[in-house]
Amino acid sequence: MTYRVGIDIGGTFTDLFAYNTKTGESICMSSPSTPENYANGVLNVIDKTGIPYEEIEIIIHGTTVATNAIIMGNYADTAFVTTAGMKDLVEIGRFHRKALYDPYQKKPNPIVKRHNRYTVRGRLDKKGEVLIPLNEEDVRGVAKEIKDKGIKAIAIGMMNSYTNGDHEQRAKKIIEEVYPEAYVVTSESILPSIGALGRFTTTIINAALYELVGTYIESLQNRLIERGFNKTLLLVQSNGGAITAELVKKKPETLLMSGPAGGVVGAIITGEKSSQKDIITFDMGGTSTDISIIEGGEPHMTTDFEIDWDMPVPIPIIEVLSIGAGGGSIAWIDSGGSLKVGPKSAGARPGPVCYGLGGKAPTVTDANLILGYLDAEAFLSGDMKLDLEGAKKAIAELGEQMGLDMYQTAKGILEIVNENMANAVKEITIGKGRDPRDFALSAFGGAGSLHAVGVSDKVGIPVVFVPPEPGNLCAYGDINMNLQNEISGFFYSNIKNIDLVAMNEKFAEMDGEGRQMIEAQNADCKKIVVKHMVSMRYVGQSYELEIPCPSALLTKADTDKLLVDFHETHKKIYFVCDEESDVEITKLRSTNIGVIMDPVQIQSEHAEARNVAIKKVKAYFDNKEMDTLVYDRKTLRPGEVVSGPAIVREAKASTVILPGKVCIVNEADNSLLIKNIEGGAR
Amino acid sequence: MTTPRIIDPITFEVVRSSFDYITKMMSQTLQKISFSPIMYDQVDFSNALFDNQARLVGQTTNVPVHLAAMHHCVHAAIEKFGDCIPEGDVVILNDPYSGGTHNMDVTFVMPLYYGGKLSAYACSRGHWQDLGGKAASSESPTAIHIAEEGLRLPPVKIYEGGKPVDAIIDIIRNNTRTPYFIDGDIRAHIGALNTAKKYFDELVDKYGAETVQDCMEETLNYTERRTRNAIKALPNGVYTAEDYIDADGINNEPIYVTMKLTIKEEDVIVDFTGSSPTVDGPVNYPPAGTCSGVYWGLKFFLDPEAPPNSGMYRPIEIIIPENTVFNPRWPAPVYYGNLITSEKVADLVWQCLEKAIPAQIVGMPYADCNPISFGMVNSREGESDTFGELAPGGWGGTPFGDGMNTTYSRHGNCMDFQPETMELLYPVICTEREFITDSGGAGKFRGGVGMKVSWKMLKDATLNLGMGRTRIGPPGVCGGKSGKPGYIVMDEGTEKEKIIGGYTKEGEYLMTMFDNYSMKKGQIVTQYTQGGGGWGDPGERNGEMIAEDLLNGFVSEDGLKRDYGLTNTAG
Repeated sequence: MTYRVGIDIGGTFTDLFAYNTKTGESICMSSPSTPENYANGVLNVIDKTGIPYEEIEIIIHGTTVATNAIIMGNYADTAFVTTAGMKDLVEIGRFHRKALYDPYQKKPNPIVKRHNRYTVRGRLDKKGEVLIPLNEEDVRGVAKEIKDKGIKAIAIGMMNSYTNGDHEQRAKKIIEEVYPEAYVVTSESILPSIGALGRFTTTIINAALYELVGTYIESLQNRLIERGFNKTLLLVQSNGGAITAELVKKKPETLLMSGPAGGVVGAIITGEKSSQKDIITFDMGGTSTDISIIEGGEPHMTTDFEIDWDMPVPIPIIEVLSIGAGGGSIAWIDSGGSLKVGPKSAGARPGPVCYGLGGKAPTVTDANLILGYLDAEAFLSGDMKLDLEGAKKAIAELGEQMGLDMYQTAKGILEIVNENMANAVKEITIGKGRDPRDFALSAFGGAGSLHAVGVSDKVGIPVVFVPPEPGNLCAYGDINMNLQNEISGFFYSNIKNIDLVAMNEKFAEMDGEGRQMIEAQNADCKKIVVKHMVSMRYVGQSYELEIPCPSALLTKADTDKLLVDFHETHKKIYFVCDEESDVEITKLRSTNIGVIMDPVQIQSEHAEARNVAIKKVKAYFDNKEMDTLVYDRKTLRPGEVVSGPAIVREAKASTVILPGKVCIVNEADNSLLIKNIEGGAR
Repeated sequence: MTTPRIIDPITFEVVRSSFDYITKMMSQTLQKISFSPIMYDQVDFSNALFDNQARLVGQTTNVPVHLAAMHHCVHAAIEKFGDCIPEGDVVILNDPYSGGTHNMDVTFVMPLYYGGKLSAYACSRGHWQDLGGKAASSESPTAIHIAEEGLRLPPVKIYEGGKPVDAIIDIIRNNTRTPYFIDGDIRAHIGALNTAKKYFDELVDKYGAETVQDCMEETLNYTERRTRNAIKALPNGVYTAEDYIDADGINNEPIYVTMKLTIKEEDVIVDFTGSSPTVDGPVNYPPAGTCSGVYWGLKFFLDPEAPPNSGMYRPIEIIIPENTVFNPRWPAPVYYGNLITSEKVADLVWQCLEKAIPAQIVGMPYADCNPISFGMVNSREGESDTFGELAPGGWGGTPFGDGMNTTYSRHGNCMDFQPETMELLYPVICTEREFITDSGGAGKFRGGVGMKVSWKMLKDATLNLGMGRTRIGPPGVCGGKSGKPGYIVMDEGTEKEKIIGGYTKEGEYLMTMFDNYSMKKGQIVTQYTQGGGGWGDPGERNGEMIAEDLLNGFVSEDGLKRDYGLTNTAG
């Protein structure tokens, strides 16, 4: 057993990162994604490395299979059984519309069509007490109808089931008796928390994805076994932790944000090597940019996730802000004469004008090429020649409409796309009470390191780091994941008269559930790490702030500390707080992490030559053309320093170092650290 | 219009987008920390940034009905205190006859100083849960005097020198059914204003005061340009429309309203001459609101993406004769003007546009926000509570597809009061939330369907209702039929079943505007909301869409025969 393998399926490429546990050598590989059957892409990329399957000890795999299925409406027919009177609650949603002034807008199609939604009599109140007993005849009748239709995925969601799951469990039992072939899932088991819309939607997604995700995993597992792999297959969850292939079949909703999670974990681990614990991740690709926050080495979590308009999935996931800005984003002039960039993207086909595949609209990549940041001859290691003249023509034409020359226009395109991304960075830093000057920005994805320094300067982030293999960072993050689950529990109390014994008991109960889930996965964990969070708010408020517990077993001093931290956090985020007002606790969360292995390091290959520029080009900085040295990243040795203006190229990325900046190659892991020249005026 | 120094288009776009960003951050603060469910859950609020001449330069887009009204508030504050409100002072106001729209929309205005110089105003407005008056939630459709609609605050200082003015806050607290929301809601508005201060300072730090001022000026010109370009694309002409408000809550008679809309090159003139005089009940609408209705009604078809600011007002002239329902004088009551009459203004605009741009217009949406509110009274035990819901109906069919089902109407974009939260907080069971078959107006593309929504009281309560479009359903356009009007039923499905508003079984029309209707513990009330108007000839509807409607119960077999002249041959 020699290799650990991480695989990330993206929109365009399936990326692999493998680590040889004997030699410490690492392998990066990419191969086109295969939307017709994503498993093909996974096997292709492993085949391409030549690693013998029987030598692989673990595969950890991030996938967009679940997300794509929901967005494309590509899932099994699903039925929904709910409380009488509430048939349309999940389709009505929260009333509001997406665009304020668009008279032609539509809402997304419901996951369960109206004719597949069924109701049964029976009602609980807010305390879980029975107002109307469950009508078992109704349930039987509904079960028969669903069986006759041949729908095999059935979600059950009833009002107030977060306080008492009896009705849902009983209904499940009856349906299973009538229809043993069906997969039946209850909302009280998936997400026992208040808010019927989120609880029901998550349960419906679980049912809708059950067959699809199960089939995908089984087929992948079988094909891996055929090739000789017989060890653990793990999947990456939206919370930044892994889960075994067996268990994820029952929890497919945890895969919804599986893709971006790998990058965040990759940034955490590469950050540690550069002594960065507070990081803004900046993953810029062709159509979008994903941004997230890491504080003290921990990703920021949220339960505010919606898979589509008005379809909340309030499970704890890594908070990722995704905006429509990427290399393919199109520049255009609106009817008021203002320059805009995105959110429309030229994608990979036809792509930017310079790809020469028929794209006519000028894009961010075209602007980068004109300004000399990309090399027409050396794009993707020279695999793709770029059409510089075509890009120049398109951008010059755009500029004419505003009275700007070609270079001003190209500069303006980057200025505006950087501003859009900077506003997103501000939204999750300043907008949440965080000072961007306390963070380093980790740039990855195909275009991240081209724009990272420009964006950081706008927001005031002092350090940018570009990890090794920025194009494969998600797969690298995947390989470093541990088993993880989040258990949430309802706990309601004013902090003044809190029952510490009851609260500690509740946490212990939740920890037990989480630990059991980890142990049941039989994945050889070295140890289990537990973290506790408490949701708090002023009495009268509706939204909570989540505050970390100072210790696992809470004392009076700890709850005093929680209260102080709550007021401080409130002041930091909302610019007001009131220490006189009552504060209450509403919810507890226990995170359980089953540590599998120590993190692996990326070993970069190095050529013999050192710190010699491979080329001198003309590039535009500060509105003038400057002589700019271009380096091959492979030739940069640890500890070496490169002064801007300069460009560092590698196979799947280019890093732009602006004038006044200096780039230091980190000793520990060869990350590029970019900051202001000491004492520089910039 | 002064001509600012030339700003390069790149800096302009960067600074302009910051105005929107600042108001977005203000709204985030207000929503997350406010106490009134109508703010945190239903998102009935707006935040805006004004330049130092009190012109709107940026606004969050939760509630279109506040589009012009915020502007009038800042002007009212300046009229009272002059344009030198000191730093650290905050003005509060809600008076519909002094810049407000209805008493429940409480507005905070704070000047923003930079380097000792007045540079901008931040403005935060929210719908509060209750400010006293005749009925719970201050919703009284039978008021005949504005004094019955709750506490009316003229522009007055609520913060001075950075300190709260306790006397004013005490007066407010004494004049509401929900005193426990007051401190949290004031804190939330102050938080929103502080948020604006923080981000505005950062913006000026970075780009300099002059550049920011220039960009404020230019952002108005920019929106004006975009609006004019959009007007130019409409055919010149004089278009008229007529409609009726169902009733005023006092007199059970329809109220005539009319509009003449003139498009002349790149200008629009909107004239309300000929509309009904001011009426007895609270469907009168002060001019700040009437103007808002015109602006947001037009905005759906005049470059919806253009940043909302007062540059949009420039090419639009509005003529509103005094002492009409669209321009009342004190003491006429006004609460439902902001809902029913506001939507009626937009309906008139759209029905004028139907004649100008039939290929682009859409059917009328359901109406106002159908506010229903409940008062739980137990004064002997020192308890009082009030809560409500804003149950939407369907949107109109469009030239490209069916209207949206049960979605909040144009003038706002509020969210629901989530049923389990409502049950947790109040003595009520939410028993129904289902679409109404056949409620969408028939058409080639039909109107969206309305919903049936019911509440069972667990304690004795009073009920207030202010629904529009219950006498005449939302009109269809271009041959589409009207959506079904709304109505309200007590004790549905029991022997005591009774329609208490809308058309009775006997065909009598009862007003859907009443207050303090007594409900006893255990009684259930059911609201049927309106369907949207259809677009185009129902005979042209395609067979697949009809089959899908039948399968999902959006249209019944009877409805198919009645509204489309078809019988289902497949089934």
